[in-house]
This record gives sequence, C-alpha cells and structure tokens, in this order.
Amino acid sequence: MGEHLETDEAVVLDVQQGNAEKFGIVMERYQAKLFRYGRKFLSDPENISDLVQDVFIKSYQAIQSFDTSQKFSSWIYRIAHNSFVNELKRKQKAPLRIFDFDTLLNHPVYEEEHSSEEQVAIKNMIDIGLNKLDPKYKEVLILHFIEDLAYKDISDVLRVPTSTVGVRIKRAKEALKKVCDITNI
Amino acid sequence: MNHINNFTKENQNTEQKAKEHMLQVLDQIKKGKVTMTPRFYFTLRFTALIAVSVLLFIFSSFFFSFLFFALQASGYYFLFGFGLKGFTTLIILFPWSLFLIQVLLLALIEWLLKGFSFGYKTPLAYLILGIVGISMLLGLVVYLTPLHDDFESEAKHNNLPVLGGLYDHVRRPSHDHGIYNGTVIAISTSSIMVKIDDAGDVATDTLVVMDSAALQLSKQVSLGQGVFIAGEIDHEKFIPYGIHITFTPATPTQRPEFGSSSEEFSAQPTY
Repeated sequence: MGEHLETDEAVVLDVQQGNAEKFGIVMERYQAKLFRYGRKFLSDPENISDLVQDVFIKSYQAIQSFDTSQKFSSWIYRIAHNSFVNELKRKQKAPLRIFDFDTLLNHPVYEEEHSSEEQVAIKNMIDIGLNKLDPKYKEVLILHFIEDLAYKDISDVLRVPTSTVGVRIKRAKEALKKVCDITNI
Repeated sequence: MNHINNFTKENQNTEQKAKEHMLQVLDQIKKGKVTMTPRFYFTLRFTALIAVSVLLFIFSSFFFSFLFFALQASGYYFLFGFGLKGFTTLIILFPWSLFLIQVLLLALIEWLLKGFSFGYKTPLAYLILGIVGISMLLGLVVYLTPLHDDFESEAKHNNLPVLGGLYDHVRRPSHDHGIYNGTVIAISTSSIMVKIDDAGDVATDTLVVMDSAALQLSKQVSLGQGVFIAGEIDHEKFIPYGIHITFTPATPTQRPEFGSSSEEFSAQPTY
C-alpha cells in the first residue's frame, strides 16, 4: 500500500532503474484518466481502450526519455494526446496542420481563476458544444477544465508556448459561448 | 430501466477490458516483448541538436559575412540607392542557394528544438530572430577578419574546393545585369565614356552613355573618377538608372580634346 503513496515521478524512477513491475502502478493510476480523456476525442470505447493500451506500451518503451524532475502527468498526457489526435485525424481524414500562427509571438496572458459555479457551467457547456469546436480549441478546454491541468502543464502536453495556451483557452471559451448562443443552450 | 442496465453493463465490460489490457501489457513487459528503448537513443537527439546548432552558426556566420564581403567587394550595396530597379537587381543577384541552405538549417533546428521545453516554450518568431541576430553578429565579426580575402586568394589559385566558385567574380559586378565598375575617361555634353574594369566577357572594354542620360551624368562626374554604374540597354544605347562615384583621383585629370560632337563617341558597347 505504501508504494501507492509514492509520487508518479518516484515510481517512474524505479521503473527506469529496472523495477519493471512498478509500471503496473503507473497503469493503475492513469488507466481511468486516459480513458476519460480519450472519450472526449473518440466515441468507440473499444477503440479508446485499445489506444490507451497502446499509450502504455509507448510510454514504457520511451520511459528512459522521461526527466523525473518534470511532471509525469504532462508527459503521459502528451503521448496519449498524440495517439488520440492521430486517430481522430485518421478517422476524419483531416488535413495536416503544418504551421500555427498562435505559436509565432508571445501573447500577454494570465491564468484565470474560476469559481466552482463557473467551472460547472463551463463543463456543462463543454459537454454540449465541444464537438462543434475546432480541435485546437477542443483540446485546450478538455485539458484545462476537464483534466484540471494548469497552463504550464498544457504547454508541455501540446508543446506550444504557455502564452499560446492562454490565447487558445480565451478564444475557445468565446467560440464555445458562440456555439451555445446559436444553439440556445 | 433497460437503458440503465445496458449502460452499467457496458461500463463493467469496459472496466474488465481495461484490466485485461493492463495485465497484457505487464505480461508483455515480463516476457520481454515490450522493452525500454535505451537512454542513449534519447540523448542522440540532444547530440543532434548540438551538432546542428554548431553547423547552423558556422554556416550562418559564413553566409552573413560572405554577404557583407560580396556587397562591399562588388559594390552591390550601391544598388540600394538606385531606386526600385536597383533593389530588384539586388534581389535577382542575391545568393539564393546559400539562403535556401540557411532556411533548411533553421527549419531543422526548429524541429529538433520542439523536443525540448526551451524550444517549444519560446515563441517561434523570437527563436528565429534570436538565431538570425546572433548569426549576423557572428557574420560581422568574421567579415572583419581577413578570412574572405584569404579564401578569395585561394580560389584564384584553384586551391579552394567547393566554395571556390563563390569567389570567381566577387569583385566584378554582373555585366549580364548591366552593372559595371569603371573609370570615366571622356565627357562631352552628349556622351560619357567609361573604361570598364576587368571587362572580361564584354567585347569592348568601354561603355558609352549617350544623349540625355549623358547630359545629366556629365554634371555629376568628372574625368578620372571611378564609377559604379548600373543600367539597361535600349536600342543599343546604355541607359543608366544609377551611378555612384567610387573614387576621385588625387590630381584631377585634364579633359581630353575630343570636341563636343557626339559622333566622336559613336562606338557602341557590345555585350
């Protein structure tokens, strides 16, 4: 039981040093979270389950590249994010996004604090209007409001500047509000 | 009620499947079917980043220093002052192949940097401006050294492989684009004669500016002066769109006794 109180990073350090069985703890901790994250991108539970298994395999294979001074959750979410987005693109046959102008310059940004009522309202709006949003807005909303990741951690997951995350969240909220207004929600 | 039962059943199935998947992964790890990629493989990316960075800065400092050197040696920087035509010619004469290599190296370094938090946390424009700024400074430092003079000298003796071609005509502006370095050898109200330095590929070594252009230029230049001149050929006449005096001799040269009629300067340039 004691080992379950270890931080993710400590557990991963053990795995890196050869204690492969401890990877089971990592999987237990992230199975449900990643599955829930996958549901926001894909609808077929079987497919999500297969992808989550694939994420664990990829994570184990690349575990030596993880820097234990960083946050493990951002690292594994990054792998999961890529898997889900790639699957989504494959299914939608979406064009490849080569360059994003949001990442070009620094944007002044501050992390907004939301009251619990606001959080609930935004989560409800996300549940209803999410599928009508551009994927780049969709992903930041999920990571921030559903997965509770801070801007800095989202920046690590998406590999974009923190200021870009701020700008996208601001625009995503505006887009979501517009969708909800149009559909009278 | 049935709907709720189905939903609960689906959830139980999913949970069961997730557990099976976790056990499968652990089993594959135990059996050695899934293995960790060794750490050195990941450090290779970092090594590649360092190597490409070094290569980029070496190449960039060469690229910018060569630009400064070539602009100064050929006199092309005078084209900046020759209006739109001069600027267009400068764009045409730009070493685009070197620029393309520079852009490819920048794209490669940007891609490699994406794997590191420093790379993706810094906005792209700042990253590129930073690299280009540092490269220009390095280029300026290299330009102030005798490196390019030495390279040019080696190239003249065919001792500079690969880069030798860059220095072939670095001191002679492109005659194909109507740009010449020369010395004013005769002036009249209707024509001006310029003796072309290093005539090389032109049949005559004298350039003749006639008619109104000559009249205008005759007020600007005097005999013996070195000039950088750019123009176009129209009906076998050289029509300059820009001239810059590159040097004035210490002792002014006497105006030659050519008379004032244009017939005396009837020789047409052949290109």
